[in-house]
Amino acid sequence: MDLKQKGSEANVGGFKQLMVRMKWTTAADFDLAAAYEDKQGKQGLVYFGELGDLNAFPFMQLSGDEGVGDTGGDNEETMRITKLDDMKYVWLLCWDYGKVQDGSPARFKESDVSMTVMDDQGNAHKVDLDTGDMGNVALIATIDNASPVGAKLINSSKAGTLKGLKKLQQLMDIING
Amino acid sequence: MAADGTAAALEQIESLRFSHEVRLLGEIRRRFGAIPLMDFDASERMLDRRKRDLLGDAVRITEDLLPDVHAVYRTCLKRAGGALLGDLFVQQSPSYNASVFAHDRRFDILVHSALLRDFAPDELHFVFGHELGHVLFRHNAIPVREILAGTEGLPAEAARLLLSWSRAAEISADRIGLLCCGALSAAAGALFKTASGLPGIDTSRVLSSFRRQYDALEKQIHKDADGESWRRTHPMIPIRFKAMELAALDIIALACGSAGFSKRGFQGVDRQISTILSALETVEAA
Repeated sequence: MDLKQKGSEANVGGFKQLMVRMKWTTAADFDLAAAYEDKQGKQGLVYFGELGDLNAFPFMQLSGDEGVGDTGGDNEETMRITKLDDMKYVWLLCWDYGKVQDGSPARFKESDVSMTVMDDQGNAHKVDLDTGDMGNVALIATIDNASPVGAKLINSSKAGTLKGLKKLQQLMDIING
Repeated sequence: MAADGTAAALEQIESLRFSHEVRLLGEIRRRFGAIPLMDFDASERMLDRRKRDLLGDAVRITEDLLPDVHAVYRTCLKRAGGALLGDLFVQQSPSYNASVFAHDRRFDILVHSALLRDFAPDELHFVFGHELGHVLFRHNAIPVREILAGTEGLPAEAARLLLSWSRAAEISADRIGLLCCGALSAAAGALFKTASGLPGIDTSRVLSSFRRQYDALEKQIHKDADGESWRRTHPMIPIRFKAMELAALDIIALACGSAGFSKRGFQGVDRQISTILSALETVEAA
């Protein structure tokens, strides 16, 4: 199922694991990251500076460019979530770290960045970034696992601008803004 | 799972072989010489004898006899994609078990009747896939039990190497089981029933139970390694679950079509699994 528009969502309840792939072919230095809040309220961030762990909390891990089929050329980053049970929210983010450093806007609008979320039954959900907002950090999708009924994947498309990234709260302000 | 049950390419299937097994295969070659460790003709004769015994003492499952079970078996053969040739047999037994005898690409699988009675179709996919994994990876080329039983004066270090490889080979075979069933829940369900003998437990409870038990086992191993686990031919069940849990997403991506599978990405995951399991083996062997 494709989630092309902001606000569109898919009930994907029942899954325990997820593989998130972010792809783009345009010339941009994008990074995939995931901010999370667990069911005890603990918040954290998995990104290239803190790759996470598949076998210990937060049970998610970022890997670098994997280039599907090892063909090269296409840009791709992958986040594996091996256990979602303890998470309340996972926010899937894309940023241009160079632009974040100098506070200038990234070219999200001109890019073809997209995200595919595959669940542990093999169902794939493509999420397109659907925003005209200027910024250098984009929230693409939210995994809402707060309900006991099951998780939802939501196209959250929005962007914000940072100048330097020193605290998780800076990202949370964009996510909640 | 690919809707049409298409097969993964053989090259991609080979990339599912547990890297720890590959390393141990290298050590076995250095220690024992070229693989296979069994004479080609002797291996063929063994399979023929086994076929005769199965035809005499078990029941061959055909499409006419058990259409649903046979359909699962055919689907697994197709997904494994290895041009394999073999029969499926059932034998009366209250225990949950299955085994395979193979020679080259020929094989015969024997399953116990309780397993066909109590396992769901997706769990049978895992069981049949696991056995086919042994055939695909040619595990029969190293007949560990026969070597251990038939070689007088085999040094303990050589026996340890063979048994360590045997455990690693089970992890590789589990991955083909997962490829065939397409869901960690089904694979875990099959392992749970095999270990507990209990059908009908909710999948979420099974997954949670295995996760907690793996954590407890890991702590216990570090606390009280008895130095005896090297004698096992199979890894402990929670360890098999952990190895599958960490690899599941990539294997399911492969099951759904090669476009979603990255060999390089999977190698990174596989290295982590190898590190985790090797650390446990080291503690156990100490």
